[in-house]
Amino acid sequence: MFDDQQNAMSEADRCRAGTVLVVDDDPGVIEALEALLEDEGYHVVTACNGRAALSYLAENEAPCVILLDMMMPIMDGYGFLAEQRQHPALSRIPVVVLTAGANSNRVRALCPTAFLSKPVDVDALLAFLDEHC
Amino acid sequence: MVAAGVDSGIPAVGSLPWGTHFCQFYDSQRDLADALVPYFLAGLRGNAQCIWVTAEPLRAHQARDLLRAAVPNLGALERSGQLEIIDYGDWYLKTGGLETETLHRMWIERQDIALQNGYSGLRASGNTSFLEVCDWKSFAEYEARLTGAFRGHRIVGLCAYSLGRCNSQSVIDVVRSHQFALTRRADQWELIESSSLKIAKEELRQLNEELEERVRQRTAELEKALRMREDFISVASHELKTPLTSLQLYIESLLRAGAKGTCTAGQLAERLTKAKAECGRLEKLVNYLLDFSRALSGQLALTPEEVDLVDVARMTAERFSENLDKAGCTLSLRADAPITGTWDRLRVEQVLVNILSNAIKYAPGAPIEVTVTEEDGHAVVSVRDHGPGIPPQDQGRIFDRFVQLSPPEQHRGGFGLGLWIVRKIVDAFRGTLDLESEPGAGSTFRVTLPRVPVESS
Repeated sequence: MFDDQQNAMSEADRCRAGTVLVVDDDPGVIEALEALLEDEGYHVVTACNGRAALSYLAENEAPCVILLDMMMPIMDGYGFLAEQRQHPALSRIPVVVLTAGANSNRVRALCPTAFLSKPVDVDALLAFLDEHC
Repeated sequence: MVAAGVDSGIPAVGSLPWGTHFCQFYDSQRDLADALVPYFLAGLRGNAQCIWVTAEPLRAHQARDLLRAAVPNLGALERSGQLEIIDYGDWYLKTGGLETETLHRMWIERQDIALQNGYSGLRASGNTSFLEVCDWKSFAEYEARLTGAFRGHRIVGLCAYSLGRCNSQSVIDVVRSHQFALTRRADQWELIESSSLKIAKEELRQLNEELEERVRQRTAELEKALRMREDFISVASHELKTPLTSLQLYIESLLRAGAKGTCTAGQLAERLTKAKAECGRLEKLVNYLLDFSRALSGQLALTPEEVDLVDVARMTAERFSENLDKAGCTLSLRADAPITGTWDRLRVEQVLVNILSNAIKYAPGAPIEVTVTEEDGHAVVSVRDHGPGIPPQDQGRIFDRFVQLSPPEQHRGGFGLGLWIVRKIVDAFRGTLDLESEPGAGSTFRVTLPRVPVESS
């Protein structure tokens, strides 16, 4: 029933059951998130750091939600959020920060749409995606 | 004058620390009265027990009259025992003929009694005009040692010397045997410090500066260690939580798919296999932490056996091929002939794996060359990468624990312990570890191992 509703809505609203961009440098985490989210009917695209995510966003239609890791090489989550702010089109995309790091205050100061620590509260994550996709 | 303590009552002297033993040179009764009356008034105000041994030209009854002008209930204080004013003649009846040692002990005992009776300490003054009848040499010795005897006790002592009766030699003796001397010249009080006190004070000041400098250094070192520990804990928790997150996500996805009945056998097997791999990753990380802890306490276990280093390098390269492929690195191994020695095979592998992990982490997409040779009877394995190289200022610290050259946010994975453990293992083999690197020109890590067996420590 859930799936049916999502499919029905996706015709009207392209963000329903739409695309989720996962930005994480850990292949294990990316694959596991893909498995979980694809089961729930989401289309998952991935980027292995902030720079790669910006390239993806420059060339593709905006995803409904970005799931963002913070500690990554080349461009970390902080760098990505700062860049995202600069572009009005990008800054509208809701971001869920998923981090295994300890410095939650520094992350919250950047005001992401939501903040979840790793290991992830899956119910909260899916509820967020349900609301924003 | 010195650090705050008790009020001396004498403006030129100010406050004194307990244990002070000083003297006054006087010319007249007025000199004595102007110093000793405020000295004892301050003592009484400070709730000290006071003993004033008087002599000509200021006798006990005159001292009593002077004090009474400021303290009307003097009689009560004397009766209570807080104040004792006694002429030298009577005092000598009590103490004359006593040994230096006994006299010193007497002051300490008087102090103990004063403290037991609830007083803040003992304040005393003696007059030395009797010295013409007494043995100067033994008195000078008594005075000199009194400074040491008072130290650490709640006693303040002021010895009055008649300037007129002192010859030049005895003035020098007196100044030397007290912490400082008080005298009045042209109606102004002056302090004369003995040169040994000045030297001691200067030494103390220098020592104090040195100590403060050392405290500053130690504090900085501790702060640095603390910051490194915090960074390490943050990195370690990140490293452990990452595979834990994958594991948890696979389990959640299987539970959800199971509940919906949408899980195929193939999917189940695939996800469980991946979950198992994440368990393996966690296990490796935990073992790594255990190695760290063992190496830290110098208990890195070695099991030496006859090993061909070329074979170890080849096997390690094969086992590492998947990681190399993922990072887009190619590895070439150059070795002419087997190079055998007595080493712990697993630890040698660990050295190679850690150096290779470092290479693919910092130099992805570039070739890596491993060379195994023999030099001067030692086995040498070198690993050359073509990465960004290591700046000269960082080359010394990359073998330290918790050091990762990228900032914590741009964390490239790992605990920052890989090269530290390499160094610990190479040390355990009595080998050497060298680094040649230039920014932009890659890095070469060279491990030299003696081929003779080493005692497992």
